[in-house]
This record gives sequence, structure tokens and C-alpha cells, in this order.
Amino acid sequence: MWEFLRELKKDADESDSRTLGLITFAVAFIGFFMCAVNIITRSWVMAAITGGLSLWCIVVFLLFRKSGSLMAVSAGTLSAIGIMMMYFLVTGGVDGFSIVWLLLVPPIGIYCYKLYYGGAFSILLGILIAVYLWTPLHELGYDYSDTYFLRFPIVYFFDTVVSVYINYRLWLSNKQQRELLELSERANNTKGDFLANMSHEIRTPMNAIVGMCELILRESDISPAVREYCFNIQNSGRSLLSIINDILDFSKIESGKMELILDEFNIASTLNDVINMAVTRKEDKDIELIVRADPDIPIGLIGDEIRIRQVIINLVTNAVKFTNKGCVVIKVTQTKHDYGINLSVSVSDTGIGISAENIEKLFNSFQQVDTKKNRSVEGTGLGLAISKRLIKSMGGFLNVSSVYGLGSEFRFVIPLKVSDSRPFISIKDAEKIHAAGFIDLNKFENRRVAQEYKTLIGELAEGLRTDIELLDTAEDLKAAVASKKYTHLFAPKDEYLANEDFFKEQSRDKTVVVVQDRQGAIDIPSHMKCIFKPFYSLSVASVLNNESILTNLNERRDSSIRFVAPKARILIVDDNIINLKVAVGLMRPYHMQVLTADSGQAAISILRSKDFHLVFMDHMMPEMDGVEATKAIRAMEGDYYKKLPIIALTANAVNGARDMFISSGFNDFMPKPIEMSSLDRMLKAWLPKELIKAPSGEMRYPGGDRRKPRNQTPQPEKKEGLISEETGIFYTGGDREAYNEILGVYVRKSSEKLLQIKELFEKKDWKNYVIEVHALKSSSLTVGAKQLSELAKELELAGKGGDYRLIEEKNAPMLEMYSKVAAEGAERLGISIETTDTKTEETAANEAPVVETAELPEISAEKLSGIIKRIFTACDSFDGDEISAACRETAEYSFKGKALKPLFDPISADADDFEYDSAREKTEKIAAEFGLSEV
Amino acid sequence: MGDKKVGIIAECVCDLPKNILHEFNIDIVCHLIETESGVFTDTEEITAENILQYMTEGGGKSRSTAPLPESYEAAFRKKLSVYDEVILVSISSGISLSCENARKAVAAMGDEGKRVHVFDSLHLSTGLGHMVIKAAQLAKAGFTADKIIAELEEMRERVSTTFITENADFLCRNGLVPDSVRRFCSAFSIHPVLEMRNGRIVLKGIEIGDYSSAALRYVRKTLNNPKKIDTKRVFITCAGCSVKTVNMIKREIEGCCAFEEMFVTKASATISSNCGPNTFGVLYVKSKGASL
Repeated sequence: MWEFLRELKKDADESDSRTLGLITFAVAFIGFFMCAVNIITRSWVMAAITGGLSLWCIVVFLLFRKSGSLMAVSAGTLSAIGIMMMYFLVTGGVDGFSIVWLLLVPPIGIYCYKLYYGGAFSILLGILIAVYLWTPLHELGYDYSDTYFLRFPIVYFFDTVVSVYINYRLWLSNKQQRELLELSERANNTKGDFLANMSHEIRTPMNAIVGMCELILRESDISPAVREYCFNIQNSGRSLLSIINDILDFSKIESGKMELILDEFNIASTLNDVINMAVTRKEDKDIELIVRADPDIPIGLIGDEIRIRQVIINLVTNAVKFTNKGCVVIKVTQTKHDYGINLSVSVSDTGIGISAENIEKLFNSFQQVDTKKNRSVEGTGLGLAISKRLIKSMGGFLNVSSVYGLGSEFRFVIPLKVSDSRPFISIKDAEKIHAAGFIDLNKFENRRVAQEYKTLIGELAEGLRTDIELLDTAEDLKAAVASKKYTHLFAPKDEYLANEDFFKEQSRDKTVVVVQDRQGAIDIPSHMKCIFKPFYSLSVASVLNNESILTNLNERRDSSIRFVAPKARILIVDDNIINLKVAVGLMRPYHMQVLTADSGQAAISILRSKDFHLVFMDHMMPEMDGVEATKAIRAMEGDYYKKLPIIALTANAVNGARDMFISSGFNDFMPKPIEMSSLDRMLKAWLPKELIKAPSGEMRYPGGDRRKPRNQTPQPEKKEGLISEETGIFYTGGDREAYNEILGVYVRKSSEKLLQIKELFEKKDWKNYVIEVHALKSSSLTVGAKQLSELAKELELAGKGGDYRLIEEKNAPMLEMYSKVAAEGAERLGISIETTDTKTEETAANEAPVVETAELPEISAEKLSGIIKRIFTACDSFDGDEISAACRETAEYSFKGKALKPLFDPISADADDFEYDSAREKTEKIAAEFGLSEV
Repeated sequence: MGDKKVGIIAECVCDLPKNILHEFNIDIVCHLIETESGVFTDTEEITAENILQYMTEGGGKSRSTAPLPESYEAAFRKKLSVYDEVILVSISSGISLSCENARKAVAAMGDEGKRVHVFDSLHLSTGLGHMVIKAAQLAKAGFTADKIIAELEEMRERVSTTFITENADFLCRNGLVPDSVRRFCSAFSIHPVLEMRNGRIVLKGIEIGDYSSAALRYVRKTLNNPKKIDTKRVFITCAGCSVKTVNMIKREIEGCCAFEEMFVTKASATISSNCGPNTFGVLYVKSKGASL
């Protein structure tokens, strides 16, 4: 009951205060009016009462304005109304038809003042009326007829009951609606949580895929074909992310939390990404992708390139989706203004088109128009809604025009500032170039394609300020070649094949360029050139400038590293070793001193002993997650820990995540997969300015240095034993080098793991034993030790099923096999297993086996001191490459009768694992052992 | 008939569809729309829908400006490379600086400018469009520039350019009516009917009540005397009207007067930004000799 009343009061207290104030004011006004009438009619008592009540209402109104108390205004005004009504009753003002005035009080009162105040007031007024009419009190007032005494209270009672009931139903209905709304909000929040989890689950593996591709692309010694494939993998990975990003973006935009990140960008890079994506999407469709880009667009634009690319990709994806024949034309132009340029991008197609009615609902969320016709077309229906909102947030406009059945055109324009006004494409010695493009325009069924190619060639000639002409028959081409000296001849694959001999002959003194699709590409003679479709200004310029389009792309990628910070110390914290490798790899071009930690706790320990300039902290980690770790760091004593920039590095990029991270003590937020542009921005924003330097020439191709020496290590002959290299390579992603690296870690950790399993077995700690053998099962299979993996699996199942007898029976054989596998692995890699036992590594240097040194030359103490000094310096500057290089120099020597390789290999291994402290300790021990303490 | 070829240039505010412009080889000089984020070329970079949405969704301030003299000069020079003389049929000088800027461009061109004629149409939108088509037809027929201009001057008085707007909000925003009038119109569902008279926008009348009914009444009143209408061509020019509304208007016009050609065109962003959404006009030419 009380609960019910509390709810009613809460409802009443949520009334619109302005309306209540107005009612009070209205009652006061009526009071004054009646007072005036009474003064005129000389009814002084009535005048005094109505005037007094009116003044009372004014006081209530003013008090209410000051205090804002709804209860005060309700009680004050209702009391005035009540007194006024009682006065009418006493004086006969509600006799006859005038009864209506009194009967209006309950419905209006309850409606305005809600059930709590209005209902209570109506009941109270009813009681007062009954008391007055049914007691001798009524004799003091107006003489009502006999029937009135019964009729009036009954009518008033029913009036009140009906009013209460109606308003109760109304209140109930509102309450239900509110509950439904809350339910829907909760459901919406649940959806948000689901999205958060989903984004994390999808983004984490995608981080590895996209990031590893980035690392491969940075390698300088891969073939163009592998580079191309890798490029495609990376782009496809990104496209997979786009679906979830759409949903996340939309929720961000809707809540107004979408932030644009403005930075300098080159439209060439954007176009390349768009084209790669479009080519992948096009697949086998019989459509021509035509790109008409104005070469004069400035090379340096300032805007949110990621978002601009997102919108173009979305428009192109839609165009490709809804076009089965003909062409998709991407046109990029500019108009110059005082503030920079207006960048216009138009994507038109010869697809199914959109009817006028459907254009009106085209930008609605979650809606695909003409769904009957487009049943086979997938999509979230969010793309255009997002694109439109993104363009709007950039201060631009997106619009569409379409002819149903013939095609559509989507255009957007955005104002951008310019940082470098040089054209993004230019031709060297343009006046010396005379090129002809031979395209058989009659082969295109859709005339629009032919028209677009004509326009394209005309625009190329004008834009590149060079002589390029279009010839559409072989006869015209041959005649033109006979009469004019061309430097370049461009021909699509079909035209080339049809006139192969002619082109071969022409290639003696001209550059013949075959333009073909990536799919079904033919091999062309090495002295000719090939460019992949689309045939557009950048690819044409690359050929005319005698450059490779891939070189251009690589230059673009490397040029995106616009600074290095060799003195910057960075700590990356992530529990996932693959993510750590990706992050470290991505940061390598910046030449920073990077250290890693695999847990929040480890990060705190490292931070206690070393100073860093920047920390990248993963969000979700076992035991102590990123948020807890950051809070713990901030709570540490000293200004340094309060000011240390900590960036949340996470795949959880949903709406509200940024706020959560900032409020948890992080300085910024970087979503995974790590985008080079985001990393670039983040480093520039948070690293001390004095540490940022321009890259020197030798730093241009930074990738792969650490891996090269390993490549030179002679590979042991493939042996069939407990480890199947083939299986291992398969499970480690098909890369031998990655396999060797993982096998190295497996071997080095084996002694520690063996001891652990032994201890757990002896303690009969089956719970942890199962965890360890489970891990052994997975890691053994990863390195190709299938037998051991199966044995571990058997023991894991036995542990889970409580079959401890089986464990006791098979534990020893499993450990024996584990030792053998580790030994075999060590032998394959040419590393020493004993020295890698982490538990005993402190004494490893002292206990290292003495190797026959007869064949190894003795190194001078001076030279060894020099090497050790280098290692110390490299340890201090976290330079793993230098440590490895120094260690390798000792490999061919011995000192004081001891082979140096087994002593220095563990140091190199520590450097590989970023364990610089351990590497330093080991080096100090070696120096002490050999009496080289003066270093 | 003259030997000199005459080329016609118009402004995007003539609201003519692309196919007509292409058919008569009419070049277009675009007006500009300035928003808080940048300057956009009407029709090419920004459409009526864009600017209406920008204004109604709280995008900020915006204003339309006439093309710069340089834009006119570039257009004149381009046209003069093909034609002997050029006529620019411009939006009314009473509501835009277009004529003034065009004349500045002509002055800057020196002797070459003598081959350019700037004609002040005293109309806007497809009222101006009617005159542009007429000029192009005459030019195609080989009339001299002077003769074309004389014909246009005669025609200018016969063009009927009227619009009905759903409310006075945009008129108030652009300073054409005071806020009190806007409130009054809004409170009593009054829909202003505007007319181009002597080169200026004036209030021709009002329609009261539900907008659909008011719109149909406007159509009937505008076409109430078919005998005085040159039934060759009529334009229905809309700003932010739904397809349903347009179809309703078309049906009503068909019931009122049998035009040979009926074109539905979209108002340019410049026109739309001044009149607001759900505005449309029925624009036609009165027959020769009809009382004005």
C-alpha cells in the first residue's frame, strides 16, 4: 500500500511544474475577477474571501517559483480551490446547474495534480461536503432543497470515483509504457554489451591477420607476387572488419560520440585502398571499374582519411553490389577555395537504379530499398546512413541521383584544408611523352563504358599535360604508329593478344604496356610492361615515369613513417604473445626502445625499475586487467606515475569505451587492429617532442633486420623423429621462420615446464596438472610433436575424468618424450637446451658445458671486452638487434678454452624475447667469470 | 537572321533539367552556397535537399551568393571560343548580384566583352528557365543577339513566376518577412503565395488550411484562365516536395489546363534555401495579348 502511494507521489512529483504554476496563476486571476464582481455587487464578505484566496494563490505562486516545491504549490492552490468551492456550497453558488462547477473539481484536479494530490484533495473535499450537508452545519448556510442533500454527495462521490479510476488507468498505462521503455533501453544496452564482446572477439584475431600482413609488407626481400597477395589479404581482412565497424560506427554517430581525427593524408593512398577493395569485390562480375582522378588534387590534404576512405569504399561497394554489367566509375575532382579545396567524389554505375520513391528512404538506417529486386544482395543497410552522417560531420554533403533501371550516381563533397599544394600526380618530362591507348570501344555492349573510356583518355591527356590519344581500331593504331613517333603504347589484354605480333615488334623502340585484370592475367614478355586494371591516372603516371606501381605503394607505406624516436622508451602490455609481436613489429620502424610485458602485474614491476615515455596497455588480460593495472600505476608514489601517458590498446572499441578508459586513468585510446595512421598519430601526440626526429636515409627500410642472421643459419637436415616439421609449419601459419621462432621458445621453456609438471605430479595437484598438460598438448602440436601432443591429451582427459592411475602410469613416459622432443628441437635449431632453462638461467653461464675448443680460435681479451661493452650499451638502450649482432660475433671463437657460442646464445635469446635485464645479468656473469670485470 | 552564331549562357538558378540544357547547348554558371564549413557550388556540389536538410537539422548559418565575376568571365570566354556572340540570361537583378557581377566580368574582358550581352530576366527559377529556352531556340534558329534580346524583353512581361510555400519560416529566416508574420502564418496555417513582380519577390496572396488542399487551390487559381496561357510548356518546380505531392500537383494541373509539355524540375539549392521545404511553383508563359 505504502509502496503504491510512494509510486503515486513520485508520479505527482514528476508533473510539469510550469503547468501547475499556470493553474495557480489562473486560480488567482479568477479569484481577483470574482472579487471585483463582488465589490461591484457590494457583497463585501465574498469579495474579501475571493480576494484573500486570490492573494493566497499569488503568494503560493511566488513561493513556488522560489522553492520549486511541487507539494507546496499543489497544497496551496488546491486549498484555495477547496475553500472557494466550500464557500460556493455554503452560499448556494452550486445550486441547480451550477453544481457542474463543483463537479468539475475532481476530474480537473486529479488530471492536473495527479492521483496523489488531486485524488486526496477530491476525497477531502467530498468529506467536507458530506459533513456540511449531513450535519446541522448546513442550517447556517444556503437553504438547499431536500433532495439535494442526498443527490449532491452521491453525484460527487461517483464523479470522484470515475475520475480516480480513469486517472488510475492512465497512470497504470503510463507506468507500463515506462517499464517497456526501460526494458527496451536495457535490451539496447545488452545489445551494446553484445557488440562490445563481439567486436573484441572479432577484432583480436583480425589484429593478428592485418598486423602480420603489415609486417610481411615491410620485408624488403619478398617477391612482388607475394607482396601483391599479402596486400590482398590485408585488404580483405580490413573488409571483414568493416561489417562490425559499420554497426559500431553507427552507434557512435547516433550518440554523437563520433570524433573525426584530422591528419595529413595523400589522396593517392586513399584511392589505392579503395581500388584494391573494389577489385576484390568485383570478382568475376563483367563490369569495368573506371577511375577518373584529377591529377592536380593537392598531395597533402588535411582531413580524417580513414573516414573519407570508409565512405568511398561504402559507395563503391554498393555500386559493385548492384551492378551486374557495364561499369562503375569513380570520379575524384576538386575545386579550389580560400580555405583549401572542396574534394568531390562521385561513384556512378550502370546498375539497377533506384526509383524516385525509394530515393526518399535511401538514407534511412537498417533499410535496403527495393528488397524484392535485391533479395540476393547482402548488407546491413547501414552503409549509406553512416556515410551521410560522416560526410555531414565533415561539413560536406552527400547526394544521389538515379534513373530506375539505368544506374545511379552518389556524390559527396567535403571541404578540406591543404598542407601541400603540389599535385598528387605529375609526369617527368611530360612534353617528351607521346602515348596512344588502343581500346576497341565497340567490344563494350554498354555504350556508357565506351564513353567513359573516351572521357578518361581525354582527361588523362589534359590532367597529365601530356600527349595521350585514344585509338579504337587496329587499323587506326597501325596508321597512327606509322605516321607518328610514339613513346608508349597502352593496350588491354584482348587487344594485345589480337595484335600480339604487332605489339612485339613495336616494343623494340616503344614501351608497350598491357592493361589487364588481376584475375586471368597473362604473362607478357619481360621487356614489356603490365599494369592491372583499373587504368587510371596513377598507374599511367607510374608507367610514364618509368616506376613500378608497387614501388609507389611501398614508398607510400614507408613514407607514412615520417619520424623516428630512437631515445623513446615504450612499454607494451598484452597477454597475447601474437599481439605483442604485432605491436612490436609495427613500432619497429620508429626505432624506439620497446619493452613488453605479458600482464598488468609484470608491467607494474617493470615500471618500478625503469622509466618509460609511453605505455600501451591492453584492456582485457587475465588476473589484473589493463584498467586495474592503470589504476595501480596511477596510485604509485611519485609524479612520474601520475603523468606517465598510458594508452589503452584494445579491441573493445564500442561506444562509450573511450570515456570509460579516460575515466579509469588512461590518457588515450587506440583500437585494435592497430592502424599505422592511428599509431603514428598516437606517438606524435604523446611522445615528448624532443624525442621525435626526422628519419635518416638508412632508416627508410627498417623491416627484417633481426631476422636476416637467422636466415643465414644453416638449417639442419630434415630428420623424421618426434617432431614433424611439416606439421609444425602448417600449424604456425606456413612460415618456416615463424615455426623456428616458436620452436625456439618451446625448447627454451621445456626445462621449466618439465620441472613444473614433475612437481605438480609429485604434489598430486591434479587441477593444475591438467592445466599444464593441456598447454603441453597444444604447444606440442603447434611445433609438430604430434605423438607427445596425443599423450598429453590422454593425460589431460584422464585428469579431468579422475583416472589418476592412468596418469601415474603414463606421466613418466610423457615427460621422457617431452625431454626427447625438446632435445630434438634444440638440435634442429642448433641451440643448447641446458642453458635455456629459465629456472637455472642465473647459473647457466657458470654451468655451461665445456665444448671442445680445439677447432675454435681464441678471441683476444680486448676484443671480447669490446663485445661485452657493446652488449651492455645495447641492453641499456633496449637494442635487441645490436645484442644479437654482438653475440653472433663470438660464435666462432673460444676464450680461456671455452667455446663462446653456448655462453652467448642465451643472451641473444633473451634479446629476442626483449628480456634485456636478463641479458645484462648473463653478460655480467660471463665478464666476471673471464675476469673482464673492468668492462 | 544573322550570320553570327549566338551562344546562350544561363545560371543554375534557372532550374532547367540537364537534358534540356544539353539539347539546347546551354552553358551554366553556378551560384554559390556558403555554409559554416565551406563554400559549395550550387547544383554541382550541393543540392536543394542538402541545403534544406542542413538548415532544418540545425547545421548552422548559410547564405547564397551570386557567381563571382571570374566565373562569368571563364564561362564567357569558353563560349566565345565557339560562338561569335554570347547572351547571358540572368536571374533578376532585384534579388541577386548576378547581373552586376556578370557586367563586371564583361568590363574586365575589354573588347572581347563587347560580344557578350547580359540580359536581366527579372525572374527566377523556371520563370527564368522559360526565357532561357526561348533564347536558345531563337539562337538555334539563327536570330541575332539583338533580336533575341528584343524577343526576351517582350516575353519578360508574360512569364508567370509564382510559388506557394508551406510556411513563412524560411522567408523570415532570409529577412523577407518579420518574425511576427511567420508566427501568425504558423498559428493559422497560412501558406504564402509569392510572385515575381518587376524583378522582386512580392506576396501575391495566401492560402489557408491544410497544405495539400491549399496547394491544390493555388494550382487552380494559378491556372484559372487557360485561354490566357501559352499551353506549350509548363514547369512544376519543387523544393523538397515528396513524390506523392508532385504526383498530386501534376494531376491537378492536367485537370486545369492541357499543356503540350509538362516538366517537373527540382529547384536549385539557392532557390530552395530561400523558400524552404515543401515549396513549389507552377510556372508558365501567358499567351501573347493576354492581359497582364
